Amino acid sequence: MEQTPFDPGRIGFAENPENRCPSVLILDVSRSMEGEPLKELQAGLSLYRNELAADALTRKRVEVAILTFGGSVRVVQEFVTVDRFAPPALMAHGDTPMGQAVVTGLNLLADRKGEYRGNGILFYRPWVFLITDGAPTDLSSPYWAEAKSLVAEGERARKFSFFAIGVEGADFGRLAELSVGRKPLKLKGVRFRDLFRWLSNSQQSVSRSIPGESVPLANPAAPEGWAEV
Amino acid sequence: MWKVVMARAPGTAHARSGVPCQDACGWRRWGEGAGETLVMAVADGAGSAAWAELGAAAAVDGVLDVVVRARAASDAVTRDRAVGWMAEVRDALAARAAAAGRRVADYACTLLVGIVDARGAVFLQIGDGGWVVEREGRLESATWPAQGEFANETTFLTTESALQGLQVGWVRGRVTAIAGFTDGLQPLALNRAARIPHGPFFEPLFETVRLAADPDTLAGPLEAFLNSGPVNERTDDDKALVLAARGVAGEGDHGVGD
Repeated sequence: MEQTPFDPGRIGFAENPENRCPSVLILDVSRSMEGEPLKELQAGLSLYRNELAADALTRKRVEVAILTFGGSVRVVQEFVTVDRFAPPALMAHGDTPMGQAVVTGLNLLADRKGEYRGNGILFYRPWVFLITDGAPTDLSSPYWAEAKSLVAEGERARKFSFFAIGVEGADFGRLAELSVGRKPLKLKGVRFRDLFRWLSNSQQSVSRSIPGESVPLANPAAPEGWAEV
Repeated sequence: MWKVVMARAPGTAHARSGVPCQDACGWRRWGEGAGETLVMAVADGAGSAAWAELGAAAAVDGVLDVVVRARAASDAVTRDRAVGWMAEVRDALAARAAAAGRRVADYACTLLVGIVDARGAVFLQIGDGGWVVEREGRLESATWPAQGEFANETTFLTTESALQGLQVGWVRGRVTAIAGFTDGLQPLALNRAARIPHGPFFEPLFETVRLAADPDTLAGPLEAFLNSGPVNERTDDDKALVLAARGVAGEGDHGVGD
């Protein structure tokens, strides 16, 4: 019996790791976030996880890392793929070391990229999301200056996309100082769920994109969006 | 004497959205017996380019024309000469764009060319995809996918700095088989971490071509392979593949190119 030429059953395919889409969330859990804001932020994280997990490709490609800042800076989730991501419980506490949180988060991302490169893993342009309802309380530390410098350099060299999101009461002047490449956005009320739905949709599109295709993202500040102009 | 088969197929992402296959491929040959030279090319149109499929097809035809006109020996292709050829192809695309009232960026595509003769082979590449050769019973990557910083980035023929970054891979000695492919097949064909071609992918393909009585009858089955379920489970991008293998001694000439 003749064999079919080029029968896929007789041709070996290489095993390669999936491309990664790194996502860093830097979350304000200072005292003022206590109550409804924190509850909604927590719900937003669960929704984010569920939306990402619902898509076979995103589940394997998006990697999430989470830092909180409230009194101190903590890495509450090291980079992990969605299938192993369980949103940590958030608790409000202390003041707002925003500068230190941003520096720690960006360093964590840089280390992760080094690991990808060392293992021949391709990745899409990383997303970094800073969410806060206040003003930085570490302005006089070296961290604030370093944070500004790292964000500016990162945006200039297209190393990542940095989004600063302020909840009602946030110091948008300081956020604008930090997020020079991109205007900070103001969250409508505490619509964290809508924000995270937008983020997971956007990351789904990006993690499917092939070279030469631009990926249009829904405008967060559109009338039905989660951000106010 | 060389046996050549090629095929292309749209990726499932494009099939879903009704976009045509934006990959192109072609080949030519000249000379006889030990003097036979084969030139092959593949190209992948940039997804966002308005006329990507035209650009890729025009780039393949253009570079094959340029190389056939030059009748270059594989060991007489210097880097400068290669850059000159690519510039000529790019300029022709620009002229074509201007005549049609379009921008050259509308024709953006990657471009890969291979020339093989008795002395060896030379491979030119702008962008991703790659060339794999079999020489002295072993597989080697003659070129490697050009990667931008991020997974969804590469260089195109029409990109500003593309010619400076032109990859040129020379292979000396008796090449017995060659494969040229666009990035759609990379995940299946290359071992990324080790930076080597995947033997079990190429060996059966080369063997089939090498033993074929009439390579022209293999075009349909090769296209069917590119459209198969197992392939489309692993990649949703367009695919183009050109395969060449030296026939067994004593067989006569077969077929014509492109």
